[in-house]
Parts: sequence; structure tokens; C-alpha cells
Amino acid sequence: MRILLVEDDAGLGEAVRDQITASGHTGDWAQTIADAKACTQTVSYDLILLDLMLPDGTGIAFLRALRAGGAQVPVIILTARDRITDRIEGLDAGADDYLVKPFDLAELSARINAVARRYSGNPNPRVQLGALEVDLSGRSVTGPSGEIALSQREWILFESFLRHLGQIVTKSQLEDQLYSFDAEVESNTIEVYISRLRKKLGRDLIETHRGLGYRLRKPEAV
Amino acid sequence: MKSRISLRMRLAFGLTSAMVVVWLLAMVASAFTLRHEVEELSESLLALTAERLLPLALDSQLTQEALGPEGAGQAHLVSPVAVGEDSFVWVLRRVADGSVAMQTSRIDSDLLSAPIAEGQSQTEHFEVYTHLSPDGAYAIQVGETRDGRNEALVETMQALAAPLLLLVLPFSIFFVLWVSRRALRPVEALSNEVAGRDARDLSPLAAVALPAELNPIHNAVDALLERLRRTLEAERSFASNAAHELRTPIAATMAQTQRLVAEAPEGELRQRAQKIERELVRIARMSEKLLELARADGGGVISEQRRDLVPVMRLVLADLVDGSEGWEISLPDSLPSYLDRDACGMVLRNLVENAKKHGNPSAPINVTVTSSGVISVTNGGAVIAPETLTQLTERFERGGAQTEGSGLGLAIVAAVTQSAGVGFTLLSPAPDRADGFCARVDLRPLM
Repeated sequence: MRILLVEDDAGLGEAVRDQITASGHTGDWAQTIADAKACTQTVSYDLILLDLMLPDGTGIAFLRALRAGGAQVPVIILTARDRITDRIEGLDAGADDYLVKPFDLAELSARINAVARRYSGNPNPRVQLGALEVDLSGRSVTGPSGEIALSQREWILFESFLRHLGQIVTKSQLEDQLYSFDAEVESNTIEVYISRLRKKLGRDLIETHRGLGYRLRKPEAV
Repeated sequence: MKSRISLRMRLAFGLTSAMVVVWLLAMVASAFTLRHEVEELSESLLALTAERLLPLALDSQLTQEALGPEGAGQAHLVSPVAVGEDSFVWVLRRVADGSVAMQTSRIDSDLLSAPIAEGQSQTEHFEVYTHLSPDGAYAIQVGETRDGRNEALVETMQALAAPLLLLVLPFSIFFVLWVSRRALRPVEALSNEVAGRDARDLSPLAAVALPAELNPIHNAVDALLERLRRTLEAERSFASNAAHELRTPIAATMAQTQRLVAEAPEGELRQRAQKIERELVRIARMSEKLLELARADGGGVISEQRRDLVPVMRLVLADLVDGSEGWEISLPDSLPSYLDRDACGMVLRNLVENAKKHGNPSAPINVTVTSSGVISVTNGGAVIAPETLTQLTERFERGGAQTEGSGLGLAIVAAVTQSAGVGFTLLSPAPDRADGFCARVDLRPLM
């Protein structure tokens, strides 16, 4: 998933960004509302982690503006404001979850995955894909002959396909998933990783639609 | 503390004493004036008496002498002058030898020591007026006992003092007490209002019509309350802000440590990082509880409007309840109450955390909220001794528990319920059970 972290504290932001990356997602980190707005106008994020007290405004105002603009991206609030009424205000403003600082990074990862699954329409972390059994929370894929090892980037792409099961995903969408703003995009990377995924999971699993993008076939079609 | 003297009694005795002193001074002044006037009057009276008596006495004396030689040289006895009873005496004396020619029946030899010379004179016991006959042969001496004069003076003074003692003094005390009671009613009202305040009510005193002299006290008490309120608020907001401001650095340190744990190779470094992480979790928990305690102490636990508490309870329970633990939860459809929603969240969170931390892990936790507003959180476990139960709401009291609690959970609930004026009861064994522990908060006064 491509995740936007909006957090002004350098120490916390750095650790959360590392956790996002380690969990197999791609993360962008904005330290102000203005940066966050610029990010959301450029990239379609799968999830936003939002602090409430930011140097140039409140996260709640940013979230309300986001929802008012029709954005349906899942948002998890990360804040030091622990009152139940703050939490109700955050959820009422359109947040999907609310995590009070200090929090456990493992819990943050679990909540990120839970929110993402909710949005994908399948809250179950276990997905059956033909002969393949996918554990989204455990980040594992098991085939008829046992567990199939996927690299971090392979997993990012595979998870993106799973979230858009049966739908065409464009090459630029996949690139957005793989690269944060500070990373250099290599021209044939997507093709290389699609090829590797086909080799590990099955040739027919991912279809190429020339000029449009790629599609992960639904289980009955596999 | 020394016994306090009533202001009313002080006023009564002070004013009355002052009045008595003034009255007595007036009496003394009157006595001097009176004495002077009485003496003048007495002297005039003596002179007048002497002048009136002399012709009569001479006439009688000359008649006596004319009757025969046997009567001559003898003192003739007559009745005393009927003025002031027997206080007046007189004597007719022969100037030539000072012998007595005629005298009142009762006479003091002291009178005879008065010099035979026209005018006023004094002896030991008498004020004397001597009047000589025109031929200078006889002199009449009229004496008035000094006791008689003093008696008149004393009787006059008594007449002046009697109303003071019998009427003015008691009436004055009663009147001053009555007036001061009426005058001090605003003080009593002010005193009752101040006495009725508790530590959490530092609002300004009610604007009542006070005498001008009391307004400075009213204003001073208001100013003191305001200073106290600001000081307490500053302390509380400092505690609250400090705990709040600590959250982000603690979160950052904890997150960095967790990344270190994740990235460190198996071995001593990772173990050390894990130890740091555990300590950070403790710091985070303590900071959170101190923040809650500062909020609970800071009041503000009553809402101006009744709000439904059930959504808050559901949010809190969703955080704490693990579905696999077989919890029994019973919530009403709605629970409108004047209890602040954050305060309700604090109460329920701490009760449930306490049950999770100290209850028997194998026994389910029961959370029941009745529609009348009674919250009960019950957990299993050994029966707690009554003396231990009473200590559990004290700060940093863990009741001998070995678990890593902050020792503040039930103290926070106690602070909130005390501020809100609702009941908080700890029971062990739990009702209808032979064991366990039940914490009960009765919100009915705020429903």
C-alpha cells in the first residue's frame, strides 16, 4: 500500500515510516498540512496516518477538507489527544481509526492492515485465490507445494493486485505503490516484478492489458 | 485554638461599658456641681434660719430673764428645727462668756467649739452659721451636720445611678445585642457561604447586599478565591500539559526502540532494547494515569447538558474487551446523564483495566450498566480484606498486588466520583458470589 504519514515529530515520524516500509508498504512522510495537501493532490494513497496537532493547522480540519472533497482514502489518526470526546470528534470527522500516542508499532501495523482490509471489502485477513492461500496479516502465500517466498517489492505489488482483485491496475498506480517520493523510479521495474510474480504464483494469475495495465484474475477465473 | 469571643458580645460589652463610663463621669461631674449647689443652698438656709430664729430666741430669752433671776444663766431646751429632721441644731449663746442661753434638745458639744463671730464656720461635725444680735450680747449659732449634707448628696447620686443599673445597663446590652445581631446577619450569611464551599468550588461569592464595612472582606475573599483558583488551575494545567507534552516524545522514543528491537540481531543488543521498551511502556502508562488524575482533580466532570453515555462506554469497551475472554457485558440502550463524557470514559476505562489487571484471568469480567445509572464491574479472584478495600482508592496504593499497575486507577475513579458527587463502592466478595471483587459507581444523582 502507498501510505501517507502526516506527523511533525521527526523521531516518531522516522520510526513510523520505517515501520511502514518494514511492513511491506510504501510510505511518504509529510510534516505539515501544506505538504500533506500537496501529496494527496499528486498521489492516490491507500491510507493516511494523520497527526492532529501540526505546525500549520489541525489534522481534523485537513481530514474534513479531504472528506468534503470526496476522498474515500482510509485515515487513521495518530495523536496525543486521548480524551474520548477527541476521539469521537476524530471519528465523526471521517477517521477510520484512532490511535493514541504512545502506541505500539505492531499494533499500528495491525490497524493499518485491518483498515485496508475493511476498505477492500474483505475484512478477513485470509484470502483464497484458487490454489493459493494468502495471509494478509502474516504476509505469506501458500501454494499446493508449500509456502511461496515473496520479496518485499513482490509482496507490495501482489497486495496491490489483491486490493483491486479483478480490476485493471495501471503501471503508474503500481509505480506509486513501489516508490515513495524520494525514490528513483526505474523504467522496467514493474515488468520485472510482474514477471517474477508470474513465475512464483502462476503464469495466468496476472493478465497484461496492453496500453492499460495489469489485472489479477478473480479465483473462479483462474 | 483559643476560644473565640463573639463580636456581638464584644460590641455589647464595649458599648455598654463606654456608656457606663460616660454616665459615671457625668455623675461625678453632677456630684461636684450638686455638692457646690447644696453647700450654697445650705449656707443660705443656715443664714436664713439663724436670722429668723434669732429674734424669736432673743424674745424667749429676754422673757425668761424677766420672769426671774432663777432662770438666768440656765440653758433653755427647745425642739430642733424641723428641717432635715435632726440634722439642724442651734444654740443661743451669750457673747460675753460663750455660755449657752438656749439650745435645741439634742446638741453636740462640737457645735459649741464654733467661734462666736458673724458668718460661716466649720467644726468637726457641723457647718455652722453664727448671727449676732443687734446689741452684740447674744449670738445664735445654727449648725447642720455634715452627714446630713452628704446624705442628700448620696441620695441624689443614687437616684441618678439607679436607672443606670436597673434599666439602662440591661436594656443597653439587650439593645446592642439585638442591633448587632441584625447588623451582622450579612456576616453570618457570608460566613455560611464560605463555610459551605469545598476545595473544588472556588467560584466568586454570591453578590449579596452587604454593609459598606463588609464589602472589603467580601471583595478580599473573592480575590483570594480567584488567586487560589488560578494557582490550582495553573498546577493542574501544568500537570495535565506536562503529561500531554510527554506523550509525543515518549511515543517517538518507544517507536524508535521498537524499530531497534525489530532491526537488532538476536542477542544482547536486542534484549537490552526490549528492556528499554518495557520501561518506556511503564513510563507511558504512568504518564497517562497522571494526566487522568490531574484531569479528575481539576473538576469539570459535570456537563451542562445531559448526554448519552452509552456510545462512550461502547468505545471504551471496544478498546479493552478481548472477545475471546468470555466477558459478560450488559449496557442499556441509552444512558442520558450530566456526567461529562470524558469523565465517564475515564471511570469505565480504569474500572475495567483494574479488573483485567488484578482479576483472576480465568474468570470472566462482568460489566453491567443499569438503565438507572449504576455501573458495576466485577472480576473473579480472592476475597479482599475490608481494611485493604478501604486503601485501594488511595493514590499509588496497590493493595499488595504484584502486578505492574500504576496504583492510580481506582484513585482516579474516586477523584472523578468525588468531584461529581456520585457514589463509588468497592465490594469483596462480589455480590451473589463467594469470591471476587466488584467496583460500583452510582450515577443516579446525575441522571
